[in-house]
Amino acid sequence: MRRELHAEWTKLRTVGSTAWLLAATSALTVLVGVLVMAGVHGSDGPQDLPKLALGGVQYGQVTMVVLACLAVGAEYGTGTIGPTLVAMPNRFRVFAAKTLVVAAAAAAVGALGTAASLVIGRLVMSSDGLPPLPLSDGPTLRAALGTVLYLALVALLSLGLATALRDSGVAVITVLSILYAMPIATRLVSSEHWKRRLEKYAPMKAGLSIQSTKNLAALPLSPWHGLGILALYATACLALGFALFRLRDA
Amino acid sequence: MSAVMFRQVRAEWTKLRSVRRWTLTLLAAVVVTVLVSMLGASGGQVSHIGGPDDQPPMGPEGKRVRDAFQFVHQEMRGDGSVTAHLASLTSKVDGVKPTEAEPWAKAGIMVKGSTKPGASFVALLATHGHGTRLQHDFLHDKSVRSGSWLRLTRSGSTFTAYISDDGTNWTKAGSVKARSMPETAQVGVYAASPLHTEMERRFGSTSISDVPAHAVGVFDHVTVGAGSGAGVGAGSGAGVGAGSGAWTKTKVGEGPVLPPGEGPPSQVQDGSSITDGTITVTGSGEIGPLPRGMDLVQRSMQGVLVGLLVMVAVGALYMTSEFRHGLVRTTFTTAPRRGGMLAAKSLVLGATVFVLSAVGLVIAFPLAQSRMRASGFKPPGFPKWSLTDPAVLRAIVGSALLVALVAVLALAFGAIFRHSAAAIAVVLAIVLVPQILASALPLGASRLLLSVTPAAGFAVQQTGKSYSFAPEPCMPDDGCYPLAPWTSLLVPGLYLAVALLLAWWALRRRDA
Repeated sequence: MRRELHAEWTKLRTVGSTAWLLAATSALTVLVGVLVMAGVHGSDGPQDLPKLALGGVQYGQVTMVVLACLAVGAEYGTGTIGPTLVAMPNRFRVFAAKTLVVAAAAAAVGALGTAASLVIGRLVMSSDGLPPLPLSDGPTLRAALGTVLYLALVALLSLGLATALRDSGVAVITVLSILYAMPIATRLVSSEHWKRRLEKYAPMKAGLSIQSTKNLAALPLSPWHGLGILALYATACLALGFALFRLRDA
Repeated sequence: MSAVMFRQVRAEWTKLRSVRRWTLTLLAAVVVTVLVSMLGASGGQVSHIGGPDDQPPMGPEGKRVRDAFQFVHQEMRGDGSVTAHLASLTSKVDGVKPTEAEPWAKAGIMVKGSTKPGASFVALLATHGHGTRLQHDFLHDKSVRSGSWLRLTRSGSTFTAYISDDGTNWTKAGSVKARSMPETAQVGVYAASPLHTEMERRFGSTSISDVPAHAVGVFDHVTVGAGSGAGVGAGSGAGVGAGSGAWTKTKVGEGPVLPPGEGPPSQVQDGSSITDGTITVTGSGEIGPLPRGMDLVQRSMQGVLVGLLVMVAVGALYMTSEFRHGLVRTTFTTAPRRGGMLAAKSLVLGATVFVLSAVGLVIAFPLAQSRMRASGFKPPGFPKWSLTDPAVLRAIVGSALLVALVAVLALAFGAIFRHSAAAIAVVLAIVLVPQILASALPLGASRLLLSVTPAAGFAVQQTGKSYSFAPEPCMPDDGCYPLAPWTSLLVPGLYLAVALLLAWWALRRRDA
């Protein structure tokens, strides 16, 4: 397994786009979060500050999705999948190593982006009528840890689908449609019952409920329950990806 | 079109149509547009369908209107004038925050065809927060200079408004023609105030509550003069009761109805009193167009968003596959002008996507409308829309244009990045993500986001006309986009122009 991990890490590390995609993930997360925090005023009424500060991950995840899709899509695009499987014939190990490497990369930039969003968000916040952004209380730490896990799960979901689809472009559009188009499409559904149900179980919305720190009773899903739903989606996509990876010729 | 350009366009068209995967994907986009539009339109129920009894009144221009206010009036035959001094105007709001005032609380003088709701009228009025205004026939409003003395004179169907600060020096403030004013009209003073909207947005959810509001207008020196009212100062007599008869107090129309069980009963009552030449009018209600309500046209076109995703994928691949397969070298060898290739590709893709999206919507719209009617969204409560209505045509043509613009945007990014994944991600990030973030951000930020990103273009699907003098909250959560329909397309257009310039530069500068 160490060989596979080393190989996958080398492949990921030595592609030029990886570094700037990772940097862009952190940067977008922090930038959007900070812009939102700078724009919050006391006149807007009480706000869920940690959630607003961490909200940038909704933007930052785009580049993470691209990275995860490229991690496997590029193998098929350039044909390196052939040598990879010749050198490491055990497909489960190859897939597991890719999963681990991508998840670790996502968690690392996620942690960086989350910490920076909270700290800078606290600094730029206007002080009129707003309490300072809490940094170390339980709910904020849960939201921060959850955001890191959220980013890793989104990366895994993308990786699974990209393995199934074998084309980075198609995979990116599929993943982003699942993440973004579902909530917009459901917003206009006329039936209230279906609207609520679709909103509740949409992967992004469910996963992001981990960021809420206030008014938890009003959430359709409790924070960890919501993240669990996203984990189920990610597991399903990984299982689908691995099954097809195993069954098909490279 | 020069011969070279024609050859390039034909070459690009052949490339687009001969890849079977793309043809299928483009057709799939049409099917998806239709299916999602139908799914989005079905389901849902109308809890209260307006019966024939509680129909809103019909205005003089054939549109349903709101018409409710407190009116103290007398009859005026033929030409004449009405003058009043508005001593004070107060807005009373029964809200959680009693200090608030409704900016559209109004009081003023009015000439109205009859006291029947929906009858033609001309009014010169003061508002609490929006200055003095000249309004007529429910849909027309003009801001005029302010002053506490108000006068309206009638000459046939032409009404002229005068304003004065002291009651002796009058300046003309404007003149309007009323649509269908009968020979004998009701003239007098009135007061009205729409419901006051208190909006709270917290934790990403919004609560809008409407609370009753009243306007209290205190008038003195109210005079009604007969005869040709063109002359300033034609008032025949001073003090209440002059003119053709005694004052009648009427509550015109039904006041705003709050949903049952919402909020405490109003502490202020409508009414009017006349003492010693002073008329005090307390009124509630709104005189103006009907609220927009649910936009049935927009709701019949939800497939556009999903169709757009598929078109974006084709748009990006149409360009990036040239680089991926090395075809671009052949392309540039046969036609070395690189800008020409970009122009030809954009033209072919844009036209194809526009036509396909328009066809999809023309099929989807009647189907979605019939599904909506089946679940209760039908006349008289909801208007019936057909494909030939100008607003529907605008929404369809505009949506197809929007999809075409975004697809070509994906193509341009494809030329900049030469990588489909990157191009698609960037386009989706600037088109889709703002719409997601909008419902989670504070209101100001979300409106800004929906005005400066290409997502602003979705406003072209909105058919509700908004009137500045009857404001309604525009909530991104309800699918409301802040820009005006056609202007909104300029935003994605601008993005496209910049992206095409960058793409042209990238194609010229870099080796193929």
